[in-house]
Amino acid sequence: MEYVGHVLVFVAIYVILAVSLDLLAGHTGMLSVAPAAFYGLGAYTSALLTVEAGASFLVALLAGMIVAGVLSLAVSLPSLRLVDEYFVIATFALQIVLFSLFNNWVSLTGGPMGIPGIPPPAIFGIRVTSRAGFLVMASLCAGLAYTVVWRLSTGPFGRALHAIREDEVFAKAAGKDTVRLKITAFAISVALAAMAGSLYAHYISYIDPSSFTVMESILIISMVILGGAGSLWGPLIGAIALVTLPEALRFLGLPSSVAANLRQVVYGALLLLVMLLRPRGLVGKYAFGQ
Amino acid sequence: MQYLVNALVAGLSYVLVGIGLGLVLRVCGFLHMAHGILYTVGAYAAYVGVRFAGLSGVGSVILAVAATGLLGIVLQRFVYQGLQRVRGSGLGLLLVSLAVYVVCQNLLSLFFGDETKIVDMEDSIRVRTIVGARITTLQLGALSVTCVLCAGWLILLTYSALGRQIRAVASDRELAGICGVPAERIALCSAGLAAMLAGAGGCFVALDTGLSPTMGMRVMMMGLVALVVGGVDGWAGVMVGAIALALGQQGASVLLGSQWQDAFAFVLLLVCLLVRPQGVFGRSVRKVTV
Repeated sequence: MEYVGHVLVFVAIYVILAVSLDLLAGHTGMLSVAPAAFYGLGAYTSALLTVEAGASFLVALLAGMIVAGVLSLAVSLPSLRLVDEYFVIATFALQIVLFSLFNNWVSLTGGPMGIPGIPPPAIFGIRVTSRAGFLVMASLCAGLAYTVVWRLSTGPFGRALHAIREDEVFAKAAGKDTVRLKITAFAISVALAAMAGSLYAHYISYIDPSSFTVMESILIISMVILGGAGSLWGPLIGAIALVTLPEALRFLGLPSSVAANLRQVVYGALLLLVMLLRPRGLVGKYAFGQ
Repeated sequence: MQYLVNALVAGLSYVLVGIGLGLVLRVCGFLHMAHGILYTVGAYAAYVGVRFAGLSGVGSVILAVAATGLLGIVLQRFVYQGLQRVRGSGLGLLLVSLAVYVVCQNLLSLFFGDETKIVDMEDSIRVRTIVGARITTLQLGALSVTCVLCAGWLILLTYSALGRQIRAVASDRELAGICGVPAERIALCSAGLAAMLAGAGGCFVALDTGLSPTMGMRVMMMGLVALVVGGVDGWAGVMVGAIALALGQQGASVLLGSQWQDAFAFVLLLVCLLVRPQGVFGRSVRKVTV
């Protein structure tokens, strides 16, 4: 049961990441290659604030979300006025740079050694130490992220995002401030990803840069595309499938060095096949990149 | 003087990768996120050539260039063009190439292992001192070959029939097709040429400092930054952009510490997008059109 609980916590964390990316990729039609960078930013901000500055969990969580949201402006303000490729380039650059800072700014982040001893979350004096307790908390956060994206994507804000996705020039002609809408969507999306990072840091109690690589970003993208971009169920299904799939591979008993690479070959091949054969994903309505 | 040499050696990879990225972006119409893997494959081909086939340095460079050129053509022909005929969006192809990157990088990891390898070529490398800077014969050779390649590339583009056709397809694919330029074959040629340049860059670095499966990602980002800084619509700008980027990085790492090299590239990209999105030598900026 402990093991199942552990997997379920990860499902909840990745549901947050996938749903938050879907707000961007699925509903707005913009591809960010940096979800893992903001995930890591949330994790590092939260970990540093609690370990070094002794801040409480909720403060650290919110701070992580705010830092991510502010940094997202640095990417979106210059790049979103231009064509889609520039946004991809800017997020890609951010992904590489943040990883490189996590890895090389040793005096702050501990470099490859990471940050150990992150305390378990405590909310208003209640310390969440058991796995069951943490699962409840992670599920609540996943529910919150899901609700936020659901409410946003079905309301007028979501309709405007869909209009941008289908035809940006038309949306502009209809009087929508498309740049501002895209900047807002990006900021909300990365704040949710940072929330997932903070949860991860306090759950595992140790973080190092290897959890926040480009490969991690591509995994999150695969979840959205596999499940189906632009639908609420899609990223949920994608996250569940891609978190549980490697757990199933674990029972094949491969040596761990081979297993990690093999898993990523499977992710990549799945993404490739879905893009080639069924770009709408399993349950999606919107075929990404058409 | 030593810093200048270091910057030039780093810059040659950025130049070779950046030219190829720009070529594929303009001729084939999408941002090729798997370009970094061609660089890595070039490195591994050189490694295999020296280590297992007993080739000399020059022989392994030829092997690497041939292998990556072939891989580039195969990818373009069987993966990207297949998808491009069905539906032609750049973002979809970008995502497909990202998946290709994941699969290839992890296959390399599976075959060669994740660790950094060094090609042992001590007997053929001598260290020379030129105006106070230490430079190996290998670096000197790589620098001069890169200069020749850049010059050759510009001459090919400006004066040969193939170069004219490449420029025609890059400026307007449909119109070029109407005028009888075989656009798909030109795209295939461009993909091959771009791949060969990246492969050459990869194998120089492999012979000089070493190789690992993940080496291509960071260099690809630097190539992209050089491309944006130099101007996506020009052909020579990327070379200046790459050298400027490498010099700036060297400066940042001397003045601020080596963890800031990559961050410098990111800041340069953002400043460029804000102030001069068409690039320093670019004429027009790619915007959303109807």
